[in-house]
Amino acid sequence: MDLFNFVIVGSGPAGVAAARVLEKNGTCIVDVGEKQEQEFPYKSLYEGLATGDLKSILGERWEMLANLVETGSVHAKLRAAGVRYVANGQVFSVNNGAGNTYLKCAGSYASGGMSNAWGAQLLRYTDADLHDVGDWPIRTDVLDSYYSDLEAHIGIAGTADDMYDFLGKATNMLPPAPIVPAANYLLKKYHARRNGSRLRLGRARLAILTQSFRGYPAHEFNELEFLTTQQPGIYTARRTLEEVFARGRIVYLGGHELISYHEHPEFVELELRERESNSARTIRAKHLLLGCGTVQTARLVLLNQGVAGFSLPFIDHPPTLVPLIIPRMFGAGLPTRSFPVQLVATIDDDRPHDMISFYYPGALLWSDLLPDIPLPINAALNVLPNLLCGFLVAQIWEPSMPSPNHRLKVDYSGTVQIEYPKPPPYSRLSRLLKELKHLGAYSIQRLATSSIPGWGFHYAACLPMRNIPGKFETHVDGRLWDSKRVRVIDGCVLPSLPAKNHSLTLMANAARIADEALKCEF
Amino acid sequence: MKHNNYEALQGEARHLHYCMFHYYPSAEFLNTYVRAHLEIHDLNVFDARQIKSVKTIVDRNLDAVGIEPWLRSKGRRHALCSKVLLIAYLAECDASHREFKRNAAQGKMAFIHMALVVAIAFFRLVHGLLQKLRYGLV
Repeated sequence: MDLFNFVIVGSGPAGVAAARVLEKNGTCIVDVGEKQEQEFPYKSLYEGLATGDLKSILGERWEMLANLVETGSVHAKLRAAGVRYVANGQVFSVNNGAGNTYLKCAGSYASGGMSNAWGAQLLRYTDADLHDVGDWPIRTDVLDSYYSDLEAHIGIAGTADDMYDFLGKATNMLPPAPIVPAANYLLKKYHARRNGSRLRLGRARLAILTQSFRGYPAHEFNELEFLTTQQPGIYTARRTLEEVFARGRIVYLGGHELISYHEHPEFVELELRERESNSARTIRAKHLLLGCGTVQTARLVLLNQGVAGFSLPFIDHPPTLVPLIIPRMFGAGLPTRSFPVQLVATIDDDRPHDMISFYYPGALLWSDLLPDIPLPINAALNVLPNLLCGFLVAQIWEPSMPSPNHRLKVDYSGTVQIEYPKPPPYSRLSRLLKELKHLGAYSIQRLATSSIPGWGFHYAACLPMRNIPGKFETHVDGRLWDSKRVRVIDGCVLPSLPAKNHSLTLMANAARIADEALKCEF
Repeated sequence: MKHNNYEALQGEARHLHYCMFHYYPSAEFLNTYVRAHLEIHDLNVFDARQIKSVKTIVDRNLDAVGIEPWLRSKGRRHALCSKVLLIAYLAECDASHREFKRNAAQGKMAFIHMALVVAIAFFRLVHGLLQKLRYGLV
C-alpha cells in the first residue's frame, strides 16, 4: 500500500500553496482534477461576436441562457460551457433559515478549484483587518514571508498608490492593469479632490500578468472571463499544480476523490474512489492536509466524525452591487479590451473597513445587461453603447463574522445544507454614494442589490483556528482539535473574514500550515 | 414539434423581432428561435395566462417591446420577457445585427441621442401600458 509523508487533498489555491512547500518530501496530491473540455475558439469576445458563431458563444446546449427564464439560477460567471466544470463538485443548497432555498450550488472538483473562475484579486491582510473582525489567533507578520513568496511566484499587477497600505504592502509588483476611460476619469477626479475626500481610491491589485513573467505571456485583456478559464495571463491554482507536477517532485493522483480517512497512531489511512472506474483505493499518509474547499472539507470532516445533522459555523461574503453612471463619460468611446476589476476603494475613516471594487462589464454580453435598464429593450439597446462608456458597477464587500444563524450541516444523506438568512442591507451606502457623487459617479440607493448568500464564494469559518481549539475547531498549526496528523488548510480554518478578498491569505496560511507539518517530527 | 406550433413560434419570432428592430429576421434566425424553444426546457413551462398574453400580442400585432417592461418581475421572468430577451441574445450573437455593434463615440451628441431615445421610449411605454390594460395582458 502506498505510504506518503504528506497527502494533500485538493488542487485549489490552498492545496497548491501547500504543495509548493511540501514538494520533494514524499508528497502526494489527491485531486478529482476535472478540466475544461470545451475551448473557446476565438481570441476575444469581440472576435467571437464578430464571427456570429452563436454556438460557441451561447453554447451547444444554450448554457449562456441559463438565466433566461429563472433569473439568478446560475451565477453569471459559471454559465458558459467552458466554465461549468469549475462548479461540478459536491452539491449544496443555501436557504434562508426558514426552509426557503435561495440557491443550489456546488463545490469544485476542478484542477485548480474555484480559482479557475475567480476575480483574481489577491490582497494581503493587515493587522488592522484582523483587528476589525476579531477572533484570529495569529498576526499577519507570521504570514509576511509566505505572502512575499506567493507574490513572487504568481506575479501581481498593482501599484503603490493611495490604496497600497490598505491592500497590504505587496512586493515586486508588475505594472497595474490598464483601466477603462470611465475608471480613469474617476481616478483623475479623485486625485484632483484627494484632500477633500473621505474615500481612498486606487488601482486594483490583480493576479494578472501585465507583462511576460517567468516564461508566461502577458494577458491580452480580451474579455473572455465569462467564457473560458484557460487564459494564460490570469493566474489560477492550476498553473502552480502544473509547475509542481512538471518538476517531478510530487505524486499526482488525479481522478481520485477522498471518501473517508482514518487516523491511526502512526499514519492516516485514506479511502479513495477512482472516479472513472468507481473502484476503491487505499493509501496512507503520515500527514493529511485537507484543502478541498470550505464546503467540501467541512462535509468530509463531519461525515468522518459520523455526526450527520450536526452544524458548523459558516460565513460568506455576499457583496452588495450598485450600478454607477458617470455622465461626463457618455459617448467617450467603448473600450474593446478590458478586465472586469478596475479600481478599489475604501471609506477612510470608517471602521471596520469595507472594500469597494469597481467593475466594468465589458466581458458580459449586452443582452445580459438589457433587462436591468428600465426602458423598453430596444431603447435600452440604443442607449447602451453610450451608457457603457460611463458605467461601472460598485461591488461592496463588508467584513463577515460568524453568526449563530449562519450554519453548515450535512444531512443524513450526506448532502450539505447551509442556513444563511440574508444579512441586513449595506448600512453605509448613502455615505458611499455621496463620496462618489463628488467624483462624478451617480446612483441611487434603490438600485443597490444584495447578492444571494452563497454567491460571494468566499466561504470560511467552519473549522476555525483557535489557540485552544474546542470540538470542530483547529489548532493554529491546522490540526483538527483531536488529531495529530490531520490538518485543514483551506478557508475552513479562517475564523472570520475582513472585507478584503481572502484568497491570498488563504494560500499564505495553507503554506504556513504546510510548513508546520514539515517541521513535525512524527 | 407539431407543424402549427413551429409556425406559431416562427410567427412569434417575426413579430417580436420586428417590434425590436423594425425589420424582419432571416429564415435562419427564425429557425434558431424555434430550435431554442425545442431545446430549452424552461421556455416551455410558462403559465398558460402568460402564453395567452404572448399569443394576443402576436395575433393582434401589439407592441411587444412597449408592453414587456410592464411585465418584468424579479425571480422567474414572464414569458414575453424571456422571449424578447431570447431575441436579443440571438441577435447579438449572429453578427448581422448592426444594433449590437460594439462601438459608440457619439461624442457630444451622446446626450442628445440618449435623451431622444428616452423620450421616444417614454411614449412607447405609455402606449404599451395602455395596450396591456386594454387587452388584459398578465
